[in-house]
Amino acid sequence: MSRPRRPEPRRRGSARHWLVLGLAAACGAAPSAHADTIAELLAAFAQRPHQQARFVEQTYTRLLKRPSETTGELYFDAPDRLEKRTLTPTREDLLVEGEDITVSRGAHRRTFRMGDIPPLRPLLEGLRATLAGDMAGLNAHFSVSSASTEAGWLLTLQPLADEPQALYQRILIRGRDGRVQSIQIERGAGERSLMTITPVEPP
Amino acid sequence: MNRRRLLVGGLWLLAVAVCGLLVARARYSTDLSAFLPATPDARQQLLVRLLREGPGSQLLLLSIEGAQPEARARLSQGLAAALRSEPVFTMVANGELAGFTHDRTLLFTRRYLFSPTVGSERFTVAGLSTAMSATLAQQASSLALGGAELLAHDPTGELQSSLDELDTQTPARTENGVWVSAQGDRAILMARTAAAGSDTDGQQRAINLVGTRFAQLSARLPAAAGARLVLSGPGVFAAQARSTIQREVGRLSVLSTVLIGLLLLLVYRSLSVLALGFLPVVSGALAGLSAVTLGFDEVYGITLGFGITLIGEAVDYSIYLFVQASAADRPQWTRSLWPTIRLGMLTSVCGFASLLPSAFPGLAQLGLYTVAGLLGAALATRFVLPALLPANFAIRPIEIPGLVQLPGVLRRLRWVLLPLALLAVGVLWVHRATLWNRELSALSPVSLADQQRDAALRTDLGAADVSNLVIISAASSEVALRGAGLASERLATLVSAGTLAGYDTPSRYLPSLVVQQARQSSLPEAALLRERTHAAAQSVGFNADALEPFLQDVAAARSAPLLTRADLVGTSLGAAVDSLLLPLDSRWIALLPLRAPANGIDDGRIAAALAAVQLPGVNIFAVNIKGESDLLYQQYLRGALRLCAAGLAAITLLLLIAKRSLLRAALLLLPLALAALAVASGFALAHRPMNLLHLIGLLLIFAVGSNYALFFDLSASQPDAKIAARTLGSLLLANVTAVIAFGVLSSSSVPVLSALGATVAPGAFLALLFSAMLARGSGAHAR
Repeated sequence: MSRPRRPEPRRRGSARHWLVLGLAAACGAAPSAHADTIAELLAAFAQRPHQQARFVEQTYTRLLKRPSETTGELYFDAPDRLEKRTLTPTREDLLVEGEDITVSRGAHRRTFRMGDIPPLRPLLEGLRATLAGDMAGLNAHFSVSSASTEAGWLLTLQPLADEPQALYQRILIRGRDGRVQSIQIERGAGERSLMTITPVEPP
Repeated sequence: MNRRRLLVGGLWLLAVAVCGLLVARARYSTDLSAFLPATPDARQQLLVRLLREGPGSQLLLLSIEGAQPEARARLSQGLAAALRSEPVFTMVANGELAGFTHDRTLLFTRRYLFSPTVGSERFTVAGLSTAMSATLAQQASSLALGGAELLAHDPTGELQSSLDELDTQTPARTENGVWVSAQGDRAILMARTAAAGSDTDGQQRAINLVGTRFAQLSARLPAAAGARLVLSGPGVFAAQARSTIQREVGRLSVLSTVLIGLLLLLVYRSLSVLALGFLPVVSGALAGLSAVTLGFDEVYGITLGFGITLIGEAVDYSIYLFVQASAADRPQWTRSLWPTIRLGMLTSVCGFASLLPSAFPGLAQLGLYTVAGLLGAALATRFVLPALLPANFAIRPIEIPGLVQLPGVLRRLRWVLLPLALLAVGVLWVHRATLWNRELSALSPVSLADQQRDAALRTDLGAADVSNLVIISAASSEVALRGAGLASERLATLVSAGTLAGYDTPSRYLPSLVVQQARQSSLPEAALLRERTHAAAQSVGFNADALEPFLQDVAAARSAPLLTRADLVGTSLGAAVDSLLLPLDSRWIALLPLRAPANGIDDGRIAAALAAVQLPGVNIFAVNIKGESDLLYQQYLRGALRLCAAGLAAITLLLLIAKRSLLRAALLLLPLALAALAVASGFALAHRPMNLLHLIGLLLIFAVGSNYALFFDLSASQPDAKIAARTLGSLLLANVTAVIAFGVLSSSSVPVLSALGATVAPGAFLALLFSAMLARGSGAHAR
């Protein structure tokens, strides 16, 4: 996959993106070994350093009568480059690369450091660690449990107690074989988002 | 005789004491304004003030180079943190968000005053529906992560509008959390000094502080080994130029004094005679400096640099006295040779006096300094020096074998001058288009490499290009802001039409009270807003109950006080306002820097767009700083041409009066004209376009060279071979000292000094050579 040009940063910070930086990710199609332990799952992910997928994300909030829906594409390059390109209803590009977070919309671009938005770190690092198959990285922020379901497997990521003001209560990652099918972020009181993922084989 | 000596000596000492006192009390200025014209036009005066003291002049660009990227980033963070705590700087930016917490709070709480989309249309049911659905679509991707909370406060997206309004500059690239160059090979920072750009001491302090803090930081950070800091910006250039000029003036004065001293020692073979020989130099320098002190508020450092040339000229008078006249011949010298020296001195004075009316204070000072210096040196030579010489004073004449025959040989070669002159004229004609450098930067002491580095740093930083500006002047800051707001509306249409790439304006960071008032009064009262919001929420799909925070925020905004500069303290918005809105004399100036599109700025369309802005008491005009300053420079080049023509006319008139013959005056001027022609064509052949100082140098070839022409003219009618030989020797010596003084000047790294030196040094020599070739072939040498 060709890397898009590294976006340029912004001078001023945006309050919105501090509060708000949206994301979720995953992709991947891994060898189909029946993986039912966390370690085996992660090992399967680790074999796919480049991943690409399409997503549909639905957000349920009491602010809206109907869930809001966005669609777009996800890209991951191990170990630490994650990109979420929202295509509808409005184009927005979120790029996480190392410690840098860049949000681009139209002609406007802003760059942050992960440290600028403390609550975001566990979420972003957790997702990256999952996709990269990095057990240690995952355990740094979450207590992880796995379960088998009828449809496949379920990883539950519970923020560690000492994580600062988490933006969510837990993250549920569902999949089948070595492939992530959905990521659900629960914020409590019925506020949640569900991202459904369809892998795309890189050309 | 003894009483006379005492009287003369006493008067001289008194004069020296008075001059010394004046010189000691003078104010010396080493900034570059010597070559910024003191222009009469109010608009140009404003430009010059802005160049010298405006916000652009306070910008310091810092670049950290070498070492690894991570180490550079840590140095950048450390340096920014250290400098932010220094009152010397009003703003330090390196791409970190750490400094912008206040901005976010301010923009969020005052979004209904900042947002350009706030208006009465916005808060009708239709307006609210449109704004809410647009905001929902725009922020959909943020909702997944808790964006709903913000949306409940701001469903019409006024914070985003405020942010988009502010985020218009091309940003720098960020890596490891700090700004880096486009290639990523250096970390870059930007700082604004509290001191004005024209306050070179203040700039120097700021520069020193940055250096100290950087050294402390890199000493503590092992990974920083090999990292170095490079500074740029107008303040850095001013400080550099100052120290260069100070260093150069010292170095060049010492160098030319030592060289000339050594030469004279070789000739005189006596230290006391050498000391006496420098007496006119010292007298002249004191007289010149005193005159400048009396005539101007401050003495420019660069004037002292030009003053070096006085050493070469003033020392000539004592050479003429010492070499031409032994003690016994002195009364005869006073009768026969002194008038020629006096005439030569007066032609020099005429030449330099033509610089007095120059609009460039540096040139006017050069003129005054040299006129007073030459008069002082000549008076000291004529009246003081003879009185101080011991009765048995005598210099053994220097005997250079064959010297006496040389003029004869040269005269036989005079036919060479015709083809030479034709050739020179031809060269000048061929290169006529490129003879002159028409840019003010030709006088800048900043090296091309430094200018390019500065430009590269500015590009990397996306720092506002200050070459195109809209300037708005008004009686109060509020009116200036109002003008800026109206002008920026016009500019915005040009941006959407592609005529402009972008612009900045202080009204973005602090809208005028009128605009704020309009925005505030467009917010509906609580019951009405609730009713409309419910209707709009219904159509867009919001749960109206969840929008309570929005209703509360609008209600609070309706009664909140308007924003003033004081509310911006501690934010980057405050720093931005200060850099674009400033008091100047009794007026307020708003600056709107323009960013040119790829195909350049269309001045006509900008002027046309701005013409639509009509506000009583507000002056609005667009300027291209480089274009304007080059235009100014060309005006002054033309002015200098007129001055030179006047100087030349004065010299001609003086020679006509003295010689009472058109032919003789023309013959005196011919070798000088040829010398000037040859030097000018030399520059053309070397592809070195001449600037203002070259032009002045050409005039000085006449002013300085006339001495040689006059003496050859005199020696032609001199029957005494011995005196003729001595005269020739003294001329040669005097010429060599002048060539040394101007030659030393030409080695300077300060362009204005080297231009003058490089013109006059070869010119003076050629003036002597051509005068010898064209001297009339009678008198002692002819036989």
